Amino acid sequence: MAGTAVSPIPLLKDELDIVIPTIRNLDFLEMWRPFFQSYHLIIVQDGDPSKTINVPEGFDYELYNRNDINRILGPKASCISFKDSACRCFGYMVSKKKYIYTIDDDCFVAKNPSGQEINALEQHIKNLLCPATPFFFNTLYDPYREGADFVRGYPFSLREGAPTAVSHGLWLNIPDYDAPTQLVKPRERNTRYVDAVMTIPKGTLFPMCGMNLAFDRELIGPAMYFGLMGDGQPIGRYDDMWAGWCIKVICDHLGYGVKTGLPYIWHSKASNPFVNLKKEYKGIYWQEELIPFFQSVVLPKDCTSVQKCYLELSKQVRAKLGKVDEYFNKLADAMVTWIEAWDEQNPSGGKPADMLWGESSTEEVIDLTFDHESGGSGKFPWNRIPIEVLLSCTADNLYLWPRVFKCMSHLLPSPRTPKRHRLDPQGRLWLLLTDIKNIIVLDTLQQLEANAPTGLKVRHDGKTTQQKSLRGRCP
Amino acid sequence: MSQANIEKSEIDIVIGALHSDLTAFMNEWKPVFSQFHLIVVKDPDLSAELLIPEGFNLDVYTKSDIDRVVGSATSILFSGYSCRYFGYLVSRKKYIISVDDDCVPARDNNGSLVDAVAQHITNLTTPATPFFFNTLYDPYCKGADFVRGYPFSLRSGVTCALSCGLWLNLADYDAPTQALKPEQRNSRYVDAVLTVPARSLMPVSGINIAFSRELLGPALIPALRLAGEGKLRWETVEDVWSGMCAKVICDHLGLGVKTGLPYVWRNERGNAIESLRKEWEGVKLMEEVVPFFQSVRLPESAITAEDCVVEMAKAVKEQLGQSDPMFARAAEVMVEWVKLWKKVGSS
Repeated sequence: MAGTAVSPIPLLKDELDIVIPTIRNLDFLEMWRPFFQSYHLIIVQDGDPSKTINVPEGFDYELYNRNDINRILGPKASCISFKDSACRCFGYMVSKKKYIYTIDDDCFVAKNPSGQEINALEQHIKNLLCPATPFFFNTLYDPYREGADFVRGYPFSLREGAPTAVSHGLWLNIPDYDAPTQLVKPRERNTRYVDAVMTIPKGTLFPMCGMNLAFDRELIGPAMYFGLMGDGQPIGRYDDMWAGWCIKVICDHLGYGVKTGLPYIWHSKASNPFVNLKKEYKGIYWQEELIPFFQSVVLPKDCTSVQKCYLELSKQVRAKLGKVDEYFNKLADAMVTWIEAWDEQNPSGGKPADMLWGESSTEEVIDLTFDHESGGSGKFPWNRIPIEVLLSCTADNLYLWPRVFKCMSHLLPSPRTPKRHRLDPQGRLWLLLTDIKNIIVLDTLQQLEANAPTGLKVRHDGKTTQQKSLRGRCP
Repeated sequence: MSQANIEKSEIDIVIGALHSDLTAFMNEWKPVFSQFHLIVVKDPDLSAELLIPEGFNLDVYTKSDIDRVVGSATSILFSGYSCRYFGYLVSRKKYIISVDDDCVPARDNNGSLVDAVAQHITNLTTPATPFFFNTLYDPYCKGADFVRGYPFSLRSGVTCALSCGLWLNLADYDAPTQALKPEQRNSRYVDAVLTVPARSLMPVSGINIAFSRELLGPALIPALRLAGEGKLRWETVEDVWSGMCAKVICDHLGLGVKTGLPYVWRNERGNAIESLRKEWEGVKLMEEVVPFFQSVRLPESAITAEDCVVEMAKAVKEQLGQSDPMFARAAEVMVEWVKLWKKVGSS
């Protein structure tokens, strides 16, 4: 509950599933063992169901082959691709967890420039638990990261950010190029470690790669359909692209963020560019129609859930892309089938996640009007919480940056701020107070620091008042 | 396109001098600056004589020059950090690079000195990609490319008109943030240049910036001056305002804006807490302008930077002018600026 200066990253081992599509073997898991062993794996076996996939010992997993998919979904199994890693989205559907991490079986642990092994899963978790900033670009990238912050000129009202729905990681060694680029640059390797996580701004599309991807299933799961690819389909290697365009449009509509950047994994296997070219061929010229389509999609206001957004999207796909190729009519059908299957497999419904960091039954609320000088003990154990408060006053606006703080809803009259706030994993909370009755006045920061910290005084008249800082002891 | 292809004679480096003693600053930058022409503009409020070491090809402009060129009534525009805009006005070069006088060259992760000028020029002379985000960042740099799924029709990119660099050590935080985290220093060197997508807004910092004067010159304007504007970056918003206008104009004209490398090393000065008293004004103003900038649209008929500034000024006056006289004044300045640019700025 109380944050320290650097909060330990929760493992989330009971809240996250790792979904791995495979057609050959899972030897790569050995390298990931130290990082993955505590997690539950969902393995989606593509190709010949009679083949046995060997899972290394010690992992807790469930495995689904084509027969299982057919059995579980019945006729709806038609929406799940065969002979293409797009089949992985079946794993998203049957998972019972809040978060998903998906990784390809030719991806290994990378090292950062200092030579340390990168715990990709931990970084994805950090990305998902911290807010995103899709409404305004921060030039120092992720402002919630240790050692960074929002830059001068970044509007304070936007500093709370938005919930992060997707964390898109990158790849060292073999980069995710398309077939033509692979043919032109067969020996190019990505050796540049870019030490940044950033939010892709609202209204901007990107090519989402499914090799190293994590997302909040409760926020965006139903939109993570990887389309109809592979066997019997005219196109391949566009599964993650399709999902990426859909989720981005829906995230933009619902006010969720998509991050890209760290973590890196080591991508070891370059697929055959000629085989890839055959698969991608249609995609390369279809995408010239698809991009303008996605860039101009408008979802109606009454699409308030992911499923509703996705079904609306499928209607528009049929209406506007059906004429590009018959494939898109089939795809639109499959999108509907997918949502039906999703809702069947997830009967409680996709309840959107409440707030950034989930409900907490042990949440305590601080009464900001606690008055030190009255000698009252107050409800809240101030001395157990490390708090630094910096306050600035104007006649009608007030900006408050507590390090560790919770407060009552009556202090947040601005319609733009949610009723209740919780500490972020960095122990920060952003508030914009617009009610003149709740002005807290700063004298100087040094004076704050000099005073013995136990309480806070609130005055209504906007004049300077004696101010105490709140610096307690760590629990 | 390598920097060698760009004539050094096409570049001006504009330095706004808010300190009189530029000796250390100039000497630190000598390896990078010595091959270029420099325009040094002295803050008209600075009384002491400028101290500039030998060995540079430069022109210095002081209050009397500014008064002579624009008239003493207008010279107020160029007070403080805004003095550099006078340099932009009188330059005749294609590209301008400008850094604050409290910054020195940074070192990259290998310990090599960062040639900020070369990097800015590379940014300005390679295309930008504002219409689709490339997850491997700048696709034109060595060792990178467009990723799978990036539409081919968008791979030629657009011209980059503005290059925003970053800062190691003292990052460009606002006063409240810096006061809250007095020990925080930026030590993370992020080895990337990326294009800021179209229609996304960002805070443009004037501390380390470069642009195509030819394409965008008139769009960088010292329009928004705080009543309590001071001589520390924490006490200004001129670059933030100017940058938001410039971004909207770039989006409208189909030009690109890049951010990321190069880094400069920014030195400490000033007291964030002192600035905190003054800066709230700028912070408050920013809140009001965001919805405006997110929704403003310029008419199709505006096809040059000058046209765009005139249209922006109209929109500012109509939509923001009522809420604060600061904005009405900014709109006036923007209109004045275009006239000034036509009179003085065009050769």
